[in-house]
Amino acid sequence: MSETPTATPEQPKQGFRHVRLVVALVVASLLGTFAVYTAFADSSIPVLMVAQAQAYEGQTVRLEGKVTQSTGDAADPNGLRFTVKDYKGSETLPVIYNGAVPDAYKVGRDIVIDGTLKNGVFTAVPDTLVTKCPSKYTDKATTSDTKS
Amino acid sequence: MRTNRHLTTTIPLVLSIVLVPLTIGMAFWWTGEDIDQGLSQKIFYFHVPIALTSYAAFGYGAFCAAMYLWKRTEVWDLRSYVGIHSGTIFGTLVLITGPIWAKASWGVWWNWSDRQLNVFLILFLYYCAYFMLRFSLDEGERRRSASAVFALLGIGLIPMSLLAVRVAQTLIHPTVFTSSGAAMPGTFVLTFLVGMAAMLSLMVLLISVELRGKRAAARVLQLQRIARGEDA
Repeated sequence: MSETPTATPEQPKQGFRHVRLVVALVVASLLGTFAVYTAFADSSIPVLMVAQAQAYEGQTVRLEGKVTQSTGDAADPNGLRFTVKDYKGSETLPVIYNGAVPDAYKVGRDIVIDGTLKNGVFTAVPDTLVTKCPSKYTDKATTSDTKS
Repeated sequence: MRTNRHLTTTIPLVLSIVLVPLTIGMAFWWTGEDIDQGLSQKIFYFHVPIALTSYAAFGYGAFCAAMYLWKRTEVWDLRSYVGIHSGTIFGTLVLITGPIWAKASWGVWWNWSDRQLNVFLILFLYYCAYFMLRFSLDEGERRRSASAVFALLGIGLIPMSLLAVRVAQTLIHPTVFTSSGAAMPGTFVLTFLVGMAAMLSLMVLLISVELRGKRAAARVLQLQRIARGEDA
């Protein structure tokens, strides 16, 4: 049951192995701490529904809502202009956005976007528009039996 | 015993040969297109089963690690190592299929504010560090124990990753399986279940083949020692 094998030439040096061991343990403990932090810590940016946004005027926030109208072009200096509506209430907010537009973006889509509300207009941070997909799949061929 | 070992390879091999093409066929030709996401939703039948399979493989690795710490027999250490190896293979596939789907439906390859994505990435990197730890120690009891403890500690990340999307507020990661059932038509559910069975068979096959390979290598090493007159 002796378990000190004779060192073969291709085996890494002992010093290198120690470094690797220390690196592995440090990486693991950092990852573990970071995992707990990301899983349970609050997001640094407030996440709001359209109805809550007025209370955070002037602050950078993350806004959630449904696109109801959309005009303009995100690549144009005037930007893409659209309206987001609260999921539950009837509150809406006009949004001005520049930057990349996801393929799935369209009127009726739920979105998440970062930006600042000022004088009733939500000016978005460029390239922060993200489309949300519904947590429900519906067969295109049998749309008649869907409940909305 | 020998028949048993053959069966643990042959059964998952046959199942994989049947189920993997069946999943592809069902996903692309049998189930309809989702009204909202269209063709890009098809990746759901692969991405989600692969992700759940990677959790299963990591879970198996951790279970075997616990068994090693209890029984102290080498075979559990080998099983644990092979399980984690298989988990990282499936984890790599998750990290390839996930961003493709994210780009199509969210417009971004990765979303750093999504907790489930981050916790999965950490889980994956944690088990990558397992290999660094394992191969920085000499073969023997110390390496087996250290590897087992490391593998077992990581298991806590799995429920955290699975629950992150439900416990914490999630912005964009959809949850189609809820306590009130699956929010999709029956054909979608069936294709998903076949996909799940296909990926699990593939995992069992990978584990079984690698275990056989490792056992054969260990036997060759032992025979070489005997031939050199070092070991009886």
